[in-house]
Amino acid sequence: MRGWCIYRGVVYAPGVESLSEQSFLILAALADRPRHGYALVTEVAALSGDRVRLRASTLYAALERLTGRGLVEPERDEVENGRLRRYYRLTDAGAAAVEEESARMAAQARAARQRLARRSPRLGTAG
Amino acid sequence: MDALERRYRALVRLLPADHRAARGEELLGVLLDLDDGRAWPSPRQAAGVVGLAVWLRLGQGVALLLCGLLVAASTGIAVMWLGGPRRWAVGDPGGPAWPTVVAAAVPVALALAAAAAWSPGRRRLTAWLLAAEPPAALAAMLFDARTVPLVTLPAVLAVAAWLLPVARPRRALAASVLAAAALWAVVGRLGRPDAPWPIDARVSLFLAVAGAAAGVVAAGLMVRGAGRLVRAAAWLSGTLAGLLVPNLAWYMLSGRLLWLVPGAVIAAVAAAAAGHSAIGYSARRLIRL
Repeated sequence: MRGWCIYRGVVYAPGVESLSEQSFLILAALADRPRHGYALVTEVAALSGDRVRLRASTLYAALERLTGRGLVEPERDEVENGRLRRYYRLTDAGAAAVEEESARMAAQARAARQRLARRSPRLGTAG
Repeated sequence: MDALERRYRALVRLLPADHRAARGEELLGVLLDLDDGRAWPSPRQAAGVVGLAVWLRLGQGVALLLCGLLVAASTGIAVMWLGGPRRWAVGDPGGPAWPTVVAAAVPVALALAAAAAWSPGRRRLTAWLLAAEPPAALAAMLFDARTVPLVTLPAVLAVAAWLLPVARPRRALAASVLAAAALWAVVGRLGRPDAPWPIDARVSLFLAVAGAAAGVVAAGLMVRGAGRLVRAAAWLSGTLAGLLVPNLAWYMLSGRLLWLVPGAVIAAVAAAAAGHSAIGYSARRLIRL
């Protein structure tokens, strides 16, 4: 019965469910070292080429989900300039999830490139 | 504290108390970092905080509404059995035969067992017990058509109990069930003792009291130090919802007072939800999605 927590409507199995783009980017941003919320927002923007700009509320909800799934965990709290900064770090399960998702996306990208390479020239498409 | 921080603190207060206590300062820090140098919150970030608060509270509210409805339905079903002893007296020349009594007792027992299973958090057991109730009630319908509510409400609640488990103040729930049953029986004796649904003439009164109790709860949530008042009003509103919802559902299924029932059910269940939410807040228990 462990995992069937009465506090959640869904049972989370790390590594089985695919990650949303936002979650993947957050986990990737934590891959090299722990970061606090503001640093995560800027790092996610950098990783996505400024395409994904997280709101504070979005990050809040995402970290809540990822913590609940055991993919990230709070490491420490620091107060800088009167502001609380909570640092999060990637867990082993989180690192495995990032690796699995990266491999899945790479395989999909490879398959898509192979099909693009076979597109018929009769359709007038560029080679 | 500068103006931006003051304004963002006001927005963060929209979040549920447990989230605010756990991560409010963290969220505030990120908001201030992102809008550093501004005097007013940026519309994008402010809209995000409001949306987060709505989402968190909506999830809690939906779960609590279902929780309140479960308490109310189980209570009503049980009291229908308890509130009409003259009718269910086996052997009474004017009463039903024993097959009717047994057929009606089974779904009632299942309803009570479901409420008992729900209180300590046995989600699956609750769902199974509720799911077993409609078939038992269908059998009872062969003997007495007034068991119709026993079929519809538990079926809905079984699905809800499975899909939306929620942490709940257990003792408060158990107390609400018992209190509603007792109060229903008392009202029945003061009203129409011959009828198993005694408070049809007092629906508006109880609606008003339930609404007032919910209002007291809401006001108490905003006032520091109102713990006892909030707890008392919350217990009352949950109990009244336990009285009103099954009775009103019965009227709805009977085709009477149709114009009143939808709003009344919503008001009663909302009162229950507000009541149980306040109990959780005042007792410092976490109510999660």
